[in-house]
Formats: sequence, structure tokens, C-alpha cells
Amino acid sequence: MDELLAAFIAETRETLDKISGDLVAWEADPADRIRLDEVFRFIHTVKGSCGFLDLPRLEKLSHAAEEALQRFRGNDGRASREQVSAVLAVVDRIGLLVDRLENGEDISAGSDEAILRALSGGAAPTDGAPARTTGRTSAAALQASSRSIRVPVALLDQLMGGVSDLVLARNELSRRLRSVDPDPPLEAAFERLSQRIADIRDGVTWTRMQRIESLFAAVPRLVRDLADQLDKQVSLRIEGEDVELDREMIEMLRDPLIHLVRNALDHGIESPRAREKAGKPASGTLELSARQSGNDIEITIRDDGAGIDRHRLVDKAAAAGIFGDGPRPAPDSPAALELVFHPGLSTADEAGTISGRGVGMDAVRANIEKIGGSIDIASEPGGGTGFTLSVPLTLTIIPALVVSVGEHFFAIPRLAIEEIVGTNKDSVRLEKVGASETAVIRGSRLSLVRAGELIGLEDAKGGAGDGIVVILAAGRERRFALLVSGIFAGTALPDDGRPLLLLDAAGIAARAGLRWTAGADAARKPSADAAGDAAFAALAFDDFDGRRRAISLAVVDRILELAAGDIAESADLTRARIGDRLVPLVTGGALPSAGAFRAIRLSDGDLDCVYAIAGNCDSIAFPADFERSRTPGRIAGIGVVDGEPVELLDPHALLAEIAHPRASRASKRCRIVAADPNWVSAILAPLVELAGYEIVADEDVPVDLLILADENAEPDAEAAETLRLSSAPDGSPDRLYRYDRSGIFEALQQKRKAGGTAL
Amino acid sequence: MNDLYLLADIADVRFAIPAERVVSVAGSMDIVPVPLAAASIAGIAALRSKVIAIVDVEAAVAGGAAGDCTGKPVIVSDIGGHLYGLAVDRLHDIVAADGPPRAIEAPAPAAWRRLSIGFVETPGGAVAVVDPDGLVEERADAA
Repeated sequence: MDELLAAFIAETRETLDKISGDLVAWEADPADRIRLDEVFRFIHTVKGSCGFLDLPRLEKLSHAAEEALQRFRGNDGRASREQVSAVLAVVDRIGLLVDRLENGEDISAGSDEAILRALSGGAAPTDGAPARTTGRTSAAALQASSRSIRVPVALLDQLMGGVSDLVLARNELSRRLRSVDPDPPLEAAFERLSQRIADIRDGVTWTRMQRIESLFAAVPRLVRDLADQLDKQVSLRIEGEDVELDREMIEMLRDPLIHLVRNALDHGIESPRAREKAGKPASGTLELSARQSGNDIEITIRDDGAGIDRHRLVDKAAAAGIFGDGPRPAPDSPAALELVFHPGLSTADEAGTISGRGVGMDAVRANIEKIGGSIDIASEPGGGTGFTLSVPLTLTIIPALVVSVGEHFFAIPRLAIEEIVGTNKDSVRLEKVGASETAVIRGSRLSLVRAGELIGLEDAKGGAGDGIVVILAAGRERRFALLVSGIFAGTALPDDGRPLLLLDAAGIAARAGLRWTAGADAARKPSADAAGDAAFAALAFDDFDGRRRAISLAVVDRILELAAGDIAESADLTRARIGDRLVPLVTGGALPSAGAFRAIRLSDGDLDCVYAIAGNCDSIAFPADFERSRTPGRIAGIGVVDGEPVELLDPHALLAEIAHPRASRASKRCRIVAADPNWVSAILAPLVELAGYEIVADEDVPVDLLILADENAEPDAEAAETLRLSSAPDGSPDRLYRYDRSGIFEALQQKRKAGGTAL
Repeated sequence: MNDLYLLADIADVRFAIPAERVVSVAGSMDIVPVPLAAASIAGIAALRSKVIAIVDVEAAVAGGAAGDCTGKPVIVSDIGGHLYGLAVDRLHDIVAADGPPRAIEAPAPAAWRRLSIGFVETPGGAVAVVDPDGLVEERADAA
């Protein structure tokens, strides 16, 4: 019984939000019978369950709501606003009672007379009219709800823990396997196991994911109620409900989202009269959208209201003494808008009941940053305000850069890193300003934080010459430089399962005592622009053919170190072993046959490859107006950086090369003549294909090579080359034994290189 | 009533931890130091896929900074819903003791008085019982 009740409570609560949303959506579009049917079905289910579970009060409520909904259905799907409000009130009451039920309270006491009266009092004139069945069925809605079961989160966590352990055990096994003599069957079995484990891990990860719909479901109701309360007209547009997000993340986004929606309605969207005066439609629009971009989910909340009054914001901030003795930011600068996130600041003159007490936006930002995300604001006077929340796809995988501070290793989330610069480069100067330190990078001055000092590692304070500066962003327009001893990535790190501490950019800034004067960054920006550099961040390096090349930093996943022994050349592609994977390797010249070299890992999220580099890696600003190449190829163009020509690589071309490596090769054809065709297809074919030949059976197709596995077969004059195989190792010079694998392979490759193509 | 206790040594002092507080014991763990953590925290370590904080019990008792605990045996205990690893010098058997711990009336240093919830008689003699909660509460006080 208890279990049944718990399931009823959980199910009812989960559906309540959605039902409110559906009801509001139906009200806006009365022709949408599917929604009304869905609400009706839900209420009906609740009624049935209540009878079964002996909850008379809830049963009475749901029965009344069902009757009202039935009237709506009979009334050609029309209902007054009051009637809908009455049904919503019942839905709310059901939610309240369900909460009490969960807390073990007795819900039989108490009266619902008032809302029941509202429900029947607002009855439409057609009261009592027979319900009509409608032509539109809810089959689509029925199909949409897929089968699902409830599982306790604790069980899921246990499962995830188990899978993590499994992955670690697999990694350990993989290390052991590498240290013993190669054993292909064992490796193949291990590979299969690895693949299955990866599948399981993916599956388990997805069990944690939930459609963002469940986060958005409460918004339509919220918007409706607020609009009523504020006497405003608002239409809501929701997009991207099918984006999936970690369930925990959805819970943590709930409060910030509700806060932003409230703000948009209370402060953003104007009253209908004010809107008409401004030449806008009386009804405001609130857009809510979610989309996945790379490893982030972007959630946008945009209204078409009055926008933020920046002058007043700056005035208020000045009055509150936020700038201290520093300059006030220009009202049209991004820094002015950032003031919205300053604690205790609001443009609303009076604290409303809905929002505007000045507590909140800073809490919203803190909440978003707590889950590794960021929040951006854009606002146009008269045109509305938009917030963009970027949150990582999941809490479990955070792409990070590993830095060393003295003997310690730390990870920094990639999201927070803007640039990596060596202090031994001309482009970086460390300058003392009074007792503080700054880093001057290409004309921009940033506050410098020494990681060693900050973390209290006395031995890691180090000099200025050997460090590496990582530029971190603790949110938009809040950048600073962090001096670390070195950066590590990929194979340079021992993959031993030791935990790594993840540094928090905002936390570092706070602990170092950085003070963000809202105007400072904006003041710096124009001077950088004044230098006339329309440029983008790129990574420059010496290539193996001796040229200086660069690649856009946006596509660089990381820089890693490879040993010559990690490079595997298969018939068609050079690959580098990175961890347990083989990643296609592209190079601009001959690789060293021994020792180690560095490589850049490029990724578009789906495909990835590594590009081997000779060294001298440097982060540069590549001029946007570089000289474009005449032909589409690996080199997008050439630009001048610090007086030197630097070629820019086209990442698209690089990825295209590895995406379809076979298509890029001239195809060679061969026909095999043998007494036993089965022997050809089952035994010989893979070897021939591996050597780069396409096997054709059709005798009319011209071929580059004829393989005569049948000793009695006659050579074909049309074939450019012929290879004879014998069934016994007789040592004759013009034919090869048919199981002389390496001999055949070598001969095939030679002939492939030597002969022209028949096409 | 027979209560079970896990016996362990720090330096030359033997103490007991109630067996029901022991989640598992681990051999030498690879410990990553955590800067800025409380003095008695030796670092963090991976217990399979979980990350746990390692308390240097000797440092917690003596009140000093945590030393290098790599290689020391670790008692894993659930303290306030989180797993902690208690690094000790040596681990012994689990023994049965007669009856609940009795108060130690002899004078003891402050740290011991805070950590110890009494002593029990074991076949090998009387040992002080250490409450794992005290090891971490101490950390909270210091912070």
C-alpha cells in the first residue's frame, strides 16, 4: 500500500506541472483538442487512483475538475479565463494535498468548497450539454509517451559507480596487456570487451539524462499567472524542449530560470499601453529556447520589452559606491550591463511582490557558475533583454587542461581558459604595478595571479622566466592571468587513476582578492582595437617541413606529446595511439623515427585527428584579413604575424582528409582467377583489399592487376600487371607460394605503386 | 554483549575503532595532496571510482600537519554521509570486547580526550576507542 501511494505521489507530482502547461497552451489555442484530452486523461487517472487508494477529498476535487473539463470538451473546446483559472486552482490544490500526503499528514480535514464553487459557478451556459466525441484523436499524443519505469536515484548512482569501476578496471587491464607480448586473439577479445563497456557507459550516462521539457513545463503556467497579476499580455514561445540534460542539472537550473522569467515579465515586458505607445504590439513575447552546442547546453530567455535602462543602472551603481574611486563605465559598454549581476543592485525603484528586491541576479549567476556554467546578458534599449545560460552537458565529464604548480597537478576547466601563453615569449611582459603584478599580453593588461603563492606552495613561487600564463575567464569581461609552472596534456600525464583537483576560475579570483572594477576592462578594450587588429586567436608552430604554420585556437582540442613508437602506419592512414584509441595523424612533413614530438589534437566534436608539429608552439593573434589561398587545400592562406609570414591551416581540409581517406586514393582494380572462388573470397580477398585493391569479378571491366591463383590459367593481355600464385612452395622465380603472405603483400604494393591506373 | 573493534596503531599507540564504523580497509593508496585543506588532511585518493579525503590520524591526534601517508594502510569510514580514509601506521585484527567502552579517568592530552570515547578491554589489553566522527569534527573546528 505504501509503495502504491508513493508511486501515486511521484507520478502525480511529475505530471502536475506539465498539466498546468498543457491547460494554458490549450487556452491559447482552443482548437488543440489533444492537449485538452491529455489534461482530461490525467485528471481522470488521478480520480481513479484516488478511489482505489481511498483518498475521498482528492477524488472529489478531481471529479469536479473532470466534470468542468468535460464541459469544455462539450462546448466546442471553449472556456472563459475564469473557468480555466478555476481548473488550475484545482490542479494546484491537488498538488498541495499530494505534498501533504507525502509528509504523512492527514488530508481528510479541510474544505475545498471555495474552489469547487468557483469551478461550478463559472460553468458555461451549455452546462449539461452532452459531451461530443471529436474527430481529432490523441493517437499522436499516446504514441509520444513512451514506456518508462521509475528507478530510485540511489540505484542509478550505484550503477554508475559500478560502471566507473568497470572502466577503471578495464584501463588497468589495458595497461597490463600493453606490457606483455602482443597476442592478437587476446587483444581482439579485449577490444570487444572495451567496446561493450563503452556502450554500457554511454547507456548509463543517458539514464541520467532528461529532456529539458521537464524544466520548461512549469513556465507556461508561471507566465500566465504573472501576466494576470501584472495586467500584461505575454505570449510565450518555447523551443528545443527535446534537448537532454543531466537530471541533477535540471534541478539546479530551476530556480535561476524561474527568476529570469519573473524578471522578464515584471521589468522587461511593458504594460500593453506603454507598448502601443512605443509602437510595439500590445502583447509582449517571451522566448525560451534550449540548444546543444558542442559540450554545452545553451538556454536562452529573451523578452521584447523595454530593455535595461543602462544610465539608471550606472547611476544606481555609482550611488551605491560600487565603483569606489574608479571610473564609471560608459553606459553603452558591456561592463555597464554586467552591473546587473552585482549584488544588491536593481533598477526597480520599488520592491515589487514579484521580483526586484535586488537580490537574485547575483544568486542566479552564482548558481549557474556552481554547475560549471556561465551566464551572458544582452539588452537593447526598447528592444528587450536576453540572457544566455551555458551549462556543461553533464557534470560527469569536464574537458580540462592539466597544469602543474611546483610538483602538484591541477585541472582547469576548458570552459574557463581563453588562452595559453609562455612567459618567455616577446608577446608577454610581467610588470609590477605598485605591489601588484600584471601581465601585459599583446597590449592588454591583465591582473596576474601566481598559482604557487595562491595555493600556498612555497617551493613553487618560481621566477618569471619559466612559467606559463593561462588566461582565465571568471565570467564575461572578467579575465585574469594565472601563472603556473607548466601545462600538461594527453600522454605526458601518468594515466594512473589518481584524482586531480579541478580549479575554479571564479574561486581563484575571489581568493586572490581580485577586484573587478566594472569599467576597467571596457577601458582596455578600445586601446586594443585602436591598434587596428581585427584578429582571431590562433596557435602558431613550426611544422615538420620547416614552415611556420598556425591553426585557429577554436578547433584545438589540446596539445599532446607523442612518442615515435605510438605511430602506426596502416595501409591507408597514419595513426597515433592516444590512450586506448587510434587517432588519424596528419603531418606536414616527415616524422622523426625516434624520440618524442608534440601534436595538436583537433576535434569537431565528432571526428578528430592529430596534427604533428615540430615545436615552438605559441599562441598568437592571426590577422583576419590574411591572404587567402587560390586553391582549396590544407592551407587556408597566409598572414603576417610579428613581421613573419605564417601559413594558416584549414581545419576543414584536415578533417576532410581523414573523414574519407579511401575516397582520396586512386582506386586500383584487380581480378583473381582461381579454381576455387570460395578460396578467393574467404581467404585471399582481405589481403588483396588491404594492399589497396578493389576486387572485381566482372571479366569485361579493365583491371590493373590480374592475380592468377589457378596454375592453369592463361595471362590476360589487357591487364597491366600479372601476379601468379602457386599452390605449393616450389621456389620458381615467376610465381609466389599462395600462403607467402608477406611476399604477396609486398608484391601487391609494389605493383600498385609501379603500375598506372586503368581508369 | 560482544562488540567488535578494529585495532590499529599510530606511532606506538594502539587504538580501536568500532567495527560497524568501518566500511572497508585499503592497502597503500596513491594520495594526492590538497593545498589549503585542513592540517590533518593528507590529501585525496581514489577508492575505486570514488574520491575520498584521507585523514592523517597521527596528525589529527598530535595536532600537527599531515605527513606523507602514501603507503600507509587506510581505514575507510562513513563520516556524516561522506567516506573518509583514516591513514594509520599498522592495522591489526578485529577483536571482540566485553561491553561498551568505559570512560578513561586518567589524565590525557586534549586531542585524545576529544577523539576518544572511552576504552575497552580486549584479549590483548585495554585500548582506547576512537570515534571517527571526532577526527573530522576536529577538522571542522580548526577551519
